[in-house]
Amino acid sequence: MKKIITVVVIVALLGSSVLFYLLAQSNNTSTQPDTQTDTVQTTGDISESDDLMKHITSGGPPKDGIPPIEDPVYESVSDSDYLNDYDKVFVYESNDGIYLYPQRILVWHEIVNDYIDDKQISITYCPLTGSAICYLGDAEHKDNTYGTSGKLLNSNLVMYDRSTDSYIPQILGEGINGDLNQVVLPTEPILWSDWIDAKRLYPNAKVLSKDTGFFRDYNSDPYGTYLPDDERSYYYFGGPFFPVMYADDTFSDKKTVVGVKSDNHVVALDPFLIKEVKVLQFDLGTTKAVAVYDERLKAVRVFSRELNGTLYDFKPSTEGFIDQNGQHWNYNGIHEELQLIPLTYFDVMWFAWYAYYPDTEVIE
Amino acid sequence: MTSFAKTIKNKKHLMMGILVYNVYFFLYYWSINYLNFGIKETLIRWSPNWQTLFFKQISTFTFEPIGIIQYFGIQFYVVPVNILIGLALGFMVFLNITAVLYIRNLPKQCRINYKYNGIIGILPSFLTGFACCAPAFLISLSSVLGSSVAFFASIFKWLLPLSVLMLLYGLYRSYEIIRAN
Repeated sequence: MKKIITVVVIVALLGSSVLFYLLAQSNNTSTQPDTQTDTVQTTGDISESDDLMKHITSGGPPKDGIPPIEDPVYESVSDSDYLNDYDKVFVYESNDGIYLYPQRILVWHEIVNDYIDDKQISITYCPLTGSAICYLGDAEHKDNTYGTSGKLLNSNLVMYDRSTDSYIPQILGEGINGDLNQVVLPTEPILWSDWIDAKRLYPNAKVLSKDTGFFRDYNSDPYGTYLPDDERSYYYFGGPFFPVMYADDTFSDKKTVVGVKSDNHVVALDPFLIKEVKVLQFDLGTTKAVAVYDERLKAVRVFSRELNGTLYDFKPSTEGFIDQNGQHWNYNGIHEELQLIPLTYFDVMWFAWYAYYPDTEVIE
Repeated sequence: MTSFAKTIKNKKHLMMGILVYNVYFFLYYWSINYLNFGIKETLIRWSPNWQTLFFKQISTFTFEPIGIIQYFGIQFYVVPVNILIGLALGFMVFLNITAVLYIRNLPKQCRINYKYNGIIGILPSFLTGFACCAPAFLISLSSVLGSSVAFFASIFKWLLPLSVLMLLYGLYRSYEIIRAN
């Protein structure tokens, strides 16, 4: 009898491990990319013949295994006392108010889907490429929410659109298969800042709470920290974890650049240059642009210099910049009733920007 | 007397087996980042959506926590499926250990050609912890592994089944000898 029980226990253990394995396999299989091999046209510099789907790799987790935050809870700045002065936060400036997203929470979730200013927005962050971007739904799917596909392209988060199941690499910001193939998602600016600067400038901001609906260790970051003395941090040292399509050594792999896109043209700005000159004017194709260093948040903002048919020339000034008529614009690009239009731009690690845009112009 | 009964007849062996079972379980749970130390805050919380989270995978063989317990500096995430996996693996380790201890006490001529290789099966299961986009152990070894991280990530899903198979093989070999004696 005991012999039978022993055999049963062993068989049960073997059976359960096979069952778990099959369960894991079925979960992974359901998130495999489509096998379509259509040529994919991208925003600019990757040639038409490149098939981005072919370069997608599995990051390990299944679809939404890195769980996006769906119903974010916010708290006041004073209630967020667990944050340290030099913790990174992502600043989203809406008409409804200022929202701050601590990087130490986003590193575990990568996407926050929310409804702000009467529109669906998604705050997305990929720790592997150091890129935080706010996406809106496309014109036909304004209420889209995005999830984590568990896949990577150029070591970068591949999101999926919940309504069409299309894959959207985060830095590319464009569908690469399914109904959203070649559809470029609209963006809004997100600025990186230190907690100490963000809370000083925006004391009434709403801060994403640790009450996310999931249990994670928000006091730790598996990749290291953004503190400059963290010599083992992934964010500063070493190369990408996963394969990239193109590589270049103009900068070190993890150097932060500000990637700017407009009119099918792309530019990588060295933020140290913008910090030095305060205001930098440049062209992206036909777009006349200006990059401004916001001293308050220690972040770069990028606007179009054209507004209502007028082309402005800007020079640095205290608390902002001035145009050719001597009118003062604040760091947010506002002069009285006028508001400059922000371009699509975001901080990103150099290796990742170059991997998507090998023909990028570099301003350093 | 069954082979299993033979292996646990000796009280010392039984106690050693139970000790290793417990140590293994906590090591496994720590290795998948669900057991941490040095936490100051004291709290107990359960998810109101625990039914949805119960079987939700965050990576291969790692599931979503449904609760958290923090006491005396110890942080314990409550993940029922991973607790079951840990207990099941721990039980196999227990069987292997007690069998190995039993065989060690047999006369030399009874254990010719026997190797303690089943015990090595413990190791792969410690490597299944996942962080965000990459397995936790790969992140810590990334400076050494470089671009090989992607390769290791691809074989990662095989580690736990490999562990189970190695432990089962070890058991099979051990019990073959125990039965013959």
